[in-house]
Amino acid sequence: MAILEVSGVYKSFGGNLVLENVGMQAELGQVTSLIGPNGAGKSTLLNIISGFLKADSGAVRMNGREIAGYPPFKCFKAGIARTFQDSQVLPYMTGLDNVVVSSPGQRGEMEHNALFRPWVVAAEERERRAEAMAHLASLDIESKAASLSQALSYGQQKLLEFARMLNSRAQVFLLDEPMAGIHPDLIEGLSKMIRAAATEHGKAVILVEHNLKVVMDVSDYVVVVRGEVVVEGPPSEVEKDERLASAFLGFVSNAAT
Amino acid sequence: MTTTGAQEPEPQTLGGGLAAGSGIGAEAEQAAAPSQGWQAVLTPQRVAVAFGAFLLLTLAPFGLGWIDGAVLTVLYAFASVAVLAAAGLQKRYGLAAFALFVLALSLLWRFDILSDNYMASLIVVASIYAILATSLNMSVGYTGLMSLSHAGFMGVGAYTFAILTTQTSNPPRGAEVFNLPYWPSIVAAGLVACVVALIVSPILRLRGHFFVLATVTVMLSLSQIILAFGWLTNGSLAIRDVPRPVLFGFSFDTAEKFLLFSIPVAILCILIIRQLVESPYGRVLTTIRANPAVASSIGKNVGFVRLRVYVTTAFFAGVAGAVYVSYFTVAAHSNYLVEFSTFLLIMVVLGGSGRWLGSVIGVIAYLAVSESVRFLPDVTEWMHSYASFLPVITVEKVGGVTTMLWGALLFFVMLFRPQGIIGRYRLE
Repeated sequence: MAILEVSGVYKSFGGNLVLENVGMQAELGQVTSLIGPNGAGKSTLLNIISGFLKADSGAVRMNGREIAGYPPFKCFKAGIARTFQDSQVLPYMTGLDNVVVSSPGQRGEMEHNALFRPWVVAAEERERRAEAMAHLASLDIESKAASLSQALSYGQQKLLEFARMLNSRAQVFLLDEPMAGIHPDLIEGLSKMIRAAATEHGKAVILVEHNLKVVMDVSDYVVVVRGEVVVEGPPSEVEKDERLASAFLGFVSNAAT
Repeated sequence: MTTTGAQEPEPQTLGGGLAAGSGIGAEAEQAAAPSQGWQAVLTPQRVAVAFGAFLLLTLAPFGLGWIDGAVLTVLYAFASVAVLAAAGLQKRYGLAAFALFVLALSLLWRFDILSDNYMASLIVVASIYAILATSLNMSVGYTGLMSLSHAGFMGVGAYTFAILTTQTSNPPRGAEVFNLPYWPSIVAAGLVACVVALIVSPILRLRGHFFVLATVTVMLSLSQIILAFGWLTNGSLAIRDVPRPVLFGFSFDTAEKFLLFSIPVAILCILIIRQLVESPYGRVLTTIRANPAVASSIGKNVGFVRLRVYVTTAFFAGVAGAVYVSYFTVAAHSNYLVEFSTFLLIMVVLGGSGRWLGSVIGVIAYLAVSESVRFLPDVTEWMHSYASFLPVITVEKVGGVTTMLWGALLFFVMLFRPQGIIGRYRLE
């Protein structure tokens, strides 16, 4: 059984039907890519899965449990982590704080623990910081741990976001156009990291991306979306399918990208 | 995105970053001290020393006398240097500054200055304002909830305490004299403020400027409710005969004795707030301020946390209101108006939002300025006697001059040091 199952999702904005009977699945240890023209509804689908939008109808199941309609923080608790378009690091916080904050189940985040059991909180905090530092080190940015996040370069901020995802212990990673604005020399490194998240860390990665070369290199499964699912399958099959080209051409969307 | 300094901060070592662990971003902030431009000129140390010099000139020859004035100046200057040192901004001077601070404090006792009601009264007011400013900072600086209703919760706490503990029936109120015990009533004052915060909490759903406006509405409503419910609050006539505390027979009835009560209460409240904001809970607050969407995507229940912050800060405001009304023994409506909310915000911003110590510094700075104005009539008269073209600011004009002074001060602060004295953020 797939860890994440989406089925029968419909979403309209006003009179515009953006998603029509869309379904997909994500498996642990695999990268599933969503591709399609701008305005095809890919980010809308990510927003629905991660709780930022409510579908008009349809099911989103995580580990068999229905999570459609859950707010974002509950989707996180169910095991879904996501990035946003344009890196969204937390300004005025250090690199380490940016990562540690995603550590789930911190007891120190409750007032009664912070006030009445500070020794418990301190011990847990040491553990979580060490864990976060390990993630920073695995992405080669541990030197930025004490720097303010807005002092990092764009590429480093993307890595910081990725470290935040890794630290969150989520099972499903939703990546929203991670290659946007990345220097071509760095794309391969980042692709390897995305692939490693699935193969080494065992995550179910859902990748929304416009860079088709990256998509074909990195994915186990590709879903082409254009308001509805046009074609899906392993990259080698989708590449050859004639519906792929027509999916991208002549599509005028009324919805925002 | 812009950085706080004029150049990119240097990378810190892992050991330095983790081992210090003293507050969020403190080490990086220190590394970001710029080496050029006006920001290098207006360092916190120089600001503190300039402040001290300003106070010396205005206070020493007038009103307090040379000895008192000098001691007060030393106290203020080194208090600011000491707290800056405690905030980790000048580690070298910290110990020396703290020693001098203690020396100045003991000079106060030695020369019997605290028997002068003025100083003691000032310290009491400062400690109460410190509770208010630090709790407001937790809301504004840490969580990003720009609230102008803080003085309203102070008023709720104040009136609750007054109604519960007043010794007389305060005509024409005609309500029952409850005359309840002192200490539970302080807690009750805080709790009633919490309840009011809960009642108005739906405004927390509003974003940005709409939220600020909603808090102003709350503030104005609470002011009006105090006036309208005259049968309970005595309306525009105050509630009098609010008692001073008594502990095991020791009565804190004079100003000097009262500060033995208000200072520990203030320290306790500030320590609680400090513990909260420097814990992972505090990190959640900062995350919510930084980016609420990201915060919710990493599992923080943003709406619920905002509610808890709003209610918690209301509690402290209520307690501060109770202590305030106990000192002045009178609960008067005119103390809890929108203007006071604005002054509290000035204290937070001036000292520095986003650092709990900033609000303490902000209170000192605010009181230093507003108390110094008190001596303007004497100063200007003295100057006028030497140079008759200089204007004399009479007592009536002091109010207007205060307003202009604050306007000019805020203008220059926003222009040259928008993050306040030790702040983390520029006010947006």
